[in-house]
Amino acid sequence: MGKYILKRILYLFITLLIIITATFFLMKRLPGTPFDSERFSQMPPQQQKQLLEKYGLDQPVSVQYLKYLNNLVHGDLGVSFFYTGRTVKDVIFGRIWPSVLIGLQAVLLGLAVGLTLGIIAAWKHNSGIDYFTMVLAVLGVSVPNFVVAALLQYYVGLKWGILPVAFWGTWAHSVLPSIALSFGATAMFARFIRTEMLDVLEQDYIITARAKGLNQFQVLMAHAVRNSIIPVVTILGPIVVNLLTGSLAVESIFSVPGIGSLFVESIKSNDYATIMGLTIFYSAFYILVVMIVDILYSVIDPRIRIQGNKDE
Amino acid sequence: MENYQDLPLDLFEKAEVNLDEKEHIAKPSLTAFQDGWIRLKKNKAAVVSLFILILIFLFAVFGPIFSSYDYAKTDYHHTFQLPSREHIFGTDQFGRDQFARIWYGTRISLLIAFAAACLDIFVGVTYGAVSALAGGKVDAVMQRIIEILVGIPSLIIIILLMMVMPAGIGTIIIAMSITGWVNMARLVRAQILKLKSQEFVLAARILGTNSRKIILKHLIPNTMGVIVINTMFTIPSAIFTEAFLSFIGIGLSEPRASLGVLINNGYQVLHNFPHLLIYPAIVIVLIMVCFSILGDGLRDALDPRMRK
Repeated sequence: MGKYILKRILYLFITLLIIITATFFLMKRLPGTPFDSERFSQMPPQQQKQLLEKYGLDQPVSVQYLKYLNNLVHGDLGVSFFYTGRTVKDVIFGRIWPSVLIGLQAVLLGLAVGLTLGIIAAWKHNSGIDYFTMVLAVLGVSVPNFVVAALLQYYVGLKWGILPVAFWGTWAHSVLPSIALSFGATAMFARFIRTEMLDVLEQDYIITARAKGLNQFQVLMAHAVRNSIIPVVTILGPIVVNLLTGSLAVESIFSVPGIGSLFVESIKSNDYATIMGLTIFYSAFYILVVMIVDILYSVIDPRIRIQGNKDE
Repeated sequence: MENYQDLPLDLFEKAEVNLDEKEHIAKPSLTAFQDGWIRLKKNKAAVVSLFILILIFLFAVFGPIFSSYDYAKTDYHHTFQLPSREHIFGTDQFGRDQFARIWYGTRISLLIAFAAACLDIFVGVTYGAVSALAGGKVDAVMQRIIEILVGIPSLIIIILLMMVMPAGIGTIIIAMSITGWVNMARLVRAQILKLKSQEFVLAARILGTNSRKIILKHLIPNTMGVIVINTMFTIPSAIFTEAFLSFIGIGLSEPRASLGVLINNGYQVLHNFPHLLIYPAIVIVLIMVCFSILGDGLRDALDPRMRK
């Protein structure tokens, strides 16, 4: 077990290093300078040189790379080219909370609605609610989240005027983005738990539980649900991906001041430092979540653990 | 019948046993795909999906030809027209016919998706097959590489590549394929490893079949199912990725149209002209839903053991 975790941590660092390196050199290949090109070209050469020096852009690429790595180790992501005078770290952390709030609400909503629907669907197999859940599950993975967000904004926000259309302020502002973001997760949870439950309900121990006279509710909660809920851990990886990509579009649509919309803005304004910072931040977060999920799963399910040991 | 031994012998007749008859196969032998097709035909939802997809495909190929309007032709006297007899889906902010644009956009989206899927198949199958067949150290190294690649969030890398490379269809296809093939490689490797140790391959080997024939006649045909099924999930995800990139503004750009570009344009004027968003959105949702249902149906049909 310890060996497995060590191996995973080693992979985590290798993957991160590759992403950082790829990001750095890709960014270096981008044409032009990150500065306002018109004003920059009108500056006297002396001033141009000073500006390049200030951001360390006058040094050879390899030196810049090593410096960037060194700074990263110390938690320094560099200075934003767009938000003058602010470090990328400050810019990111200044905008992280709306994203965290929306992301958490979306996961919780997805878990609550998705699991409930999936469990009922499996329990009442081939009933109306089962078909409803299946349709929802297919739609949830098929309708692009930016379409969901745009339609929610148009109908709920604009036409019916129930919730704020965009921007940030009160909690009410976070409701529509959270719902839009949770759509895919809800569908994935519902579909997954339904399949698991259908499988578990066929098992002999369910028949045993019924035979020994437990009532339906006890069979459902104590035996069926408990056994089918463990593997849900495995889809947390894909769900995180879904939420991360979703947040880029959803936050932009609802003008949420989070890191998703920050990413899109910095792409549009060529703020290389922020793009790199966010790429590394997102990647680190994603890799970390996947690692924790894998380790968690091997802790929960002894069969995986034994197989893992055999592998080595 | 208490005393069957008392029965007269002439009541009995010797049955003819024809050895050839015994071995006779009454049903015509079917290949795995014919078998799968028969099973797929029983799945109504999958057949309907296949039908809708063919219809959309035909519209994407022939729709722009039948329309009397050009997808890029602007007409500033007729901007933002609602759907009418002249413009079935209305016109956009430059007066371009939305019907022509939607089917042209569908064509581009499908083209990107199919091209990305082909590249995925080519790279993924080669990588997976080499890894599984070579085994040993080669396999170990190739698997370590895959394990690292899997950890990279692909969309972030795609966005980076899109920024660096010149905008265009080719760029989107390449950017998506750089990370897209990994899943295919893993599935193909797992399948071939599983097949390699199965009895029928052993039997073929004992009967003296050479390696080349085993790969071509036994391993590849039996891996086709996995490849087809996975492709059914790659195509919609490629369509989604393209639409997503165009929506956040780094995919294709005007006057080119793809479903993502159209949805992005529609979103800009959603407030007043929702039909400009809703029609392309319906097309993309139909494509994604149908591929998803067809993919599930194919998985059930081609690999009955995975059926749930």
